[in-house]
Amino acid sequence: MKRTIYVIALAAALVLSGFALQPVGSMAARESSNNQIILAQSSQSSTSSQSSSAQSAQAPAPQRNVPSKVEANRGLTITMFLVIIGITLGIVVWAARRTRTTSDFFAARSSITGWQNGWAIAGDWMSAATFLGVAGLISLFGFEGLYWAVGAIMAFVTVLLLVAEPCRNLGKYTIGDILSFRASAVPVRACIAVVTVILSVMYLILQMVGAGKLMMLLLGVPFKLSIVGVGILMICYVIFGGMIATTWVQIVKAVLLMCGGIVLFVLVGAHVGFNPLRLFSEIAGSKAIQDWVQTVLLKDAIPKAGFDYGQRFLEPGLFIKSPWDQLGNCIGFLLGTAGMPHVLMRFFTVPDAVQARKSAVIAMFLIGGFMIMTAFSGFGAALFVSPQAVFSVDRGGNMANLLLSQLLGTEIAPWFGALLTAFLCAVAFATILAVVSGVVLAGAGAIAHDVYVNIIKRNEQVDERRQMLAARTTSIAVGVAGILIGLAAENQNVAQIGVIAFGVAASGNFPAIMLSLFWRKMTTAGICAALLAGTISSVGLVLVSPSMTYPKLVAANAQKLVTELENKQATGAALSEKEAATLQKAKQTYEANKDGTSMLGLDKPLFPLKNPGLVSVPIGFLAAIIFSLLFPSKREQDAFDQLYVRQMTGIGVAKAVQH
Amino acid sequence: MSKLEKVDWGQVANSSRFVELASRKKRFLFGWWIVSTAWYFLLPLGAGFLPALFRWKVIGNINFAYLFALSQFFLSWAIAIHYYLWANKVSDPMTAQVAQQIERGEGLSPDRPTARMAPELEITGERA
Repeated sequence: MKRTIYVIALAAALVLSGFALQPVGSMAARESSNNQIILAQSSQSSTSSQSSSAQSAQAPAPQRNVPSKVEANRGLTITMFLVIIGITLGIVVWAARRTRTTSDFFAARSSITGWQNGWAIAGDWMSAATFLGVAGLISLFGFEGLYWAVGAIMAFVTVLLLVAEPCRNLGKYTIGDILSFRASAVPVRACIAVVTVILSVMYLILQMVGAGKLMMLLLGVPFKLSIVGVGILMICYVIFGGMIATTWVQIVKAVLLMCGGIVLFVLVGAHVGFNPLRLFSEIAGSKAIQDWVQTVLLKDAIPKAGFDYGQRFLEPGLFIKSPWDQLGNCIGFLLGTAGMPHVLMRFFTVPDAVQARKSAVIAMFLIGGFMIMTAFSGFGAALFVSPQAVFSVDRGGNMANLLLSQLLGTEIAPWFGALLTAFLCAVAFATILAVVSGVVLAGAGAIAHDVYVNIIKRNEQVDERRQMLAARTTSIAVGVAGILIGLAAENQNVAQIGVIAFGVAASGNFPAIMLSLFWRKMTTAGICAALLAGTISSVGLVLVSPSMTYPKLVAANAQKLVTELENKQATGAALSEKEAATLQKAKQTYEANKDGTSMLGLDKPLFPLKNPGLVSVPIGFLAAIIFSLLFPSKREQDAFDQLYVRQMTGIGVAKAVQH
Repeated sequence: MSKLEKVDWGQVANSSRFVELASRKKRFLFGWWIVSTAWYFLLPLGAGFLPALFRWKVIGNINFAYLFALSQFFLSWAIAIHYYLWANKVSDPMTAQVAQQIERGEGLSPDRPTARMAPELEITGERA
């Protein structure tokens, strides 16, 4: 226990020293280039909406004192942070005493109830990405942001109907348990462990870079320091408290975030008399929003006569133009969620399939309610804060909810605004901590349980003490890997990673799991083929997709601008100061990019869609089917009866947990 | 746990009770999954290919697209509740019957151990 307290104190000290460093006041303003991080897909945001046009379109909303940056009261915010970190560390100390075996560590002894697990799953999904990201997308792109809110809930229909109960019935700690039930353990566990670790690290990078950017925007904490701080806290939570601590931190945070969501919902609601009709008619009538849609999103220099730009904000198609791309996104969401190791792992924490089902149902109601409220506050941010102001603070829109709380809270009373913003900042931070802890556990489970216990030591009995040691060591390793890559990713646009992660889970894990559960002829070869083909095709397609940067295309666009302006010059018209600057910049951009190629040396994308799902999911399924049929296995087909009976009925599970 | 090792899974899997459970469950789960997925995919496809319908202002400034997006939430909740009640009423009792059948020893074949037990079985039982 001494050791626990020692490490905790160290972590707290590190984080505190971060706050003690003086604010970097202009950090928020300077850091405008790469903030589309927290919500993975926000990369797909039209990178075309350049900041120059946004600034030119800046038109403050009428009679409101719209904040130009999130000004979290430092003292208050730090107090909130400390309170939340204190509560969570309390949970960790409490959980540490209950974490003795690997069953405690990876699956909370399967003693979590349906209600508790429902809140914990909801906590996983009510992340910074949804609370900040979805509201931000809605505030910038109107209706289009709703896709992410809808995706979050629809994905859980798949989880509830197809994977939650069979996974509970067959698995112990990892997806590897399910896949290797009747297949050859070594190749299958090796493949799924590699995929799980890749997914965990990707998810970690996304979340940690998100946390780093968030801290920088909110409090001016240096990026590297927040990554290290988050990383150390996360490793502490995991190695001492394991799944028990992670679950309870998730529950506490979900409750806090839900409260925050309700307060914002009520604040927006009160302004429009809780009448959605009024909210939408005010949005359609808002001068700032009309201006935003016309000049920035649709780029109409001269307004089209009779076109209702305000109403256009409430219609689809302002963000992702191609329906096929949007469909690919939906597939990624729908199937990717059901293949995410850290999501499936949550179902191992409940005692049986009935509780697993109950927890998924509860999570769906919590997530759905939360998403509807978040969508409401996103529209509220568009109306009250204005898309221009949201965009100027952060290009991914991630600060929309915080700006909104600051604006509407302060209108009630200055102290209330400060308190609410500080509270939401602290909860947003806590939410990242809780999510990364779960992800580290999933990655550690894959290495410690699948690789160490079931591959390396498969022929001997590994005692509990050594299993625990392996579990903790691998947790530290995964956590440290996350920290190091997070640090390296500071200036990278990591947003593609989210698309890749969901693509891999949807086209590798999902076909492997589904066909193992329901198709008699699935074999080891099929599982490995699905995992490899799904992973390679998702990563490969994203690397040649339009999401990557193609310097030649950038150069061509710059060249077009140069020609346009030079033509204007040639006619004798003088260029305004701003146009001259634009010309200069376009020339530079052209020079810098004209000979460049994308990461893979391409001049232009080979694959037309940003999201690989539409192609990679069929590839994953096909690979599984073809390789299973090419390499049939009588033994594995015979064992299907056992798997099928047990996944349907849960026979054998109840006994295991009552020991 | 010892009992589980003696279960003749092929016999259980072909017993009328289990066959009925499995087919009803599969029909219910995949049926509703297809309904929800189709409804979900109609959102991006409809928005892309039927813009006129999706822009139709139904009440005030609220358009069809928004109502359709909202309907996804209610559909998913309805499916969740429907499944929860159905499972309580139909599949859970049937599952319990199959489990009892195995408990009572029907489907047990003491002379014929099953071909190969998944190693997780022992882990689940003893090491957990």
